[in-house]
Amino acid sequence: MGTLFWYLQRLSAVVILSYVLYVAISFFVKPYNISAAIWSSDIDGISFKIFSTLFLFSMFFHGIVGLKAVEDDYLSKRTIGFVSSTLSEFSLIFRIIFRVFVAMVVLVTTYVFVLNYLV
Amino acid sequence: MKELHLSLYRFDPEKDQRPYMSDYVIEMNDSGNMMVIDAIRKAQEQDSTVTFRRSCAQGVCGSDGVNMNGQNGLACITAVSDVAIGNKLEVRPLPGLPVIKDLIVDMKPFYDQYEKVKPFLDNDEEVTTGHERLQSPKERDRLDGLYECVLCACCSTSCPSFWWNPEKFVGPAALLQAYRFIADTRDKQKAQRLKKLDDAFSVYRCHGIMNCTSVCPKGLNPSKAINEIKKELRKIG
Ligand code: SF4
Ligand code: SF4
Ligand code: FES
Repeated sequence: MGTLFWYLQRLSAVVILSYVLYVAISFFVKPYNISAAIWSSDIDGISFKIFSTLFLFSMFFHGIVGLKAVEDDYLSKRTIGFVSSTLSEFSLIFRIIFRVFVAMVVLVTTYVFVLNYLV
Repeated sequence: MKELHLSLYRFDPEKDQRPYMSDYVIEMNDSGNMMVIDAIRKAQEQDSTVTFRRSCAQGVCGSDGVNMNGQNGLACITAVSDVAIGNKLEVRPLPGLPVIKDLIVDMKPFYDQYEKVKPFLDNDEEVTTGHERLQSPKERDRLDGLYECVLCACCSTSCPSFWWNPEKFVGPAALLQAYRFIADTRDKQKAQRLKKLDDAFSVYRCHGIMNCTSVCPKGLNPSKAINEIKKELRKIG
């Protein structure tokens, strides 16, 4: 499992980097500033939509692996105990709040993306 | 240096509510230098309740790992001049392990991880050759830099990943030992050893910051061994 996650995290990083580079380079190379029609036809193309969806999944996967590490490292009973032993008793509550927050961000982003772009 | 201002971490859980630092002025010997362990012993001559662990005083038994002005190391082979700032030196117990008393920490979490990696040659094939299991000199060379560890815990207790997750992250010292047997051609449990380490925490919690390597008093490189384990894991992937 550890190795699978290692691969997936690096693969998602490659997708994210390629997407960002592609968008940035297109922005400078293509005449988007002159014609909005070129811009909209580009982003409405099926290949760009697939690339964007892949990018979104990669972002989620990459982000969630990173955020899980943050949760495990900094929201554990032990780590919070370094700051305050009283607060450390509530570590589970901190974890739940953190997870709910992350889940909400994921849901809202997906909703906005699907509704405003893919559909 | 004529005199050293030595500040020692003190904590007796049976008496003290919280830890505190005690200051001692230590007369240096004629050379103006001494090993940190000798300075601690001189402090103990002033106050017999100062408690620390040591045995060989030669960097062999690994029992006197401490934190000296923020850097882990063996007090018996670290010269005061190498760690003091001006003439001030603060000595604390190894970070991240429970303190039993003063400079003595409970090594159980560290040994538990060591036990997990089965630090012994595992080979149940019968020897029929009439002599020991042989290796070529090249195969034997691969073990250099792996077997010399004295289990002082200086590396694991300087590792932030081990501080955060001492039960789940195996830590640099035990991983160095894990690789010592993974790399040994006489061992027959390589696949099982690797499989046991292939989770999100055991090895992959190492982020390659190399605190472990920079503090090892024996000059070993646990970080490199960890990378070798990661490479082996990716091969069986
Ligand atoms: S290289 Fe890995 S094991 Fe060594 S200190 Fe950094 S995280 Fe810990
Ligand atoms: S690798 Fe070095 S620092 Fe770590 S336990 Fe062994 S001797 Fe000590
Ligand atoms: S006392 Fe044995 S290593 Fe220092």
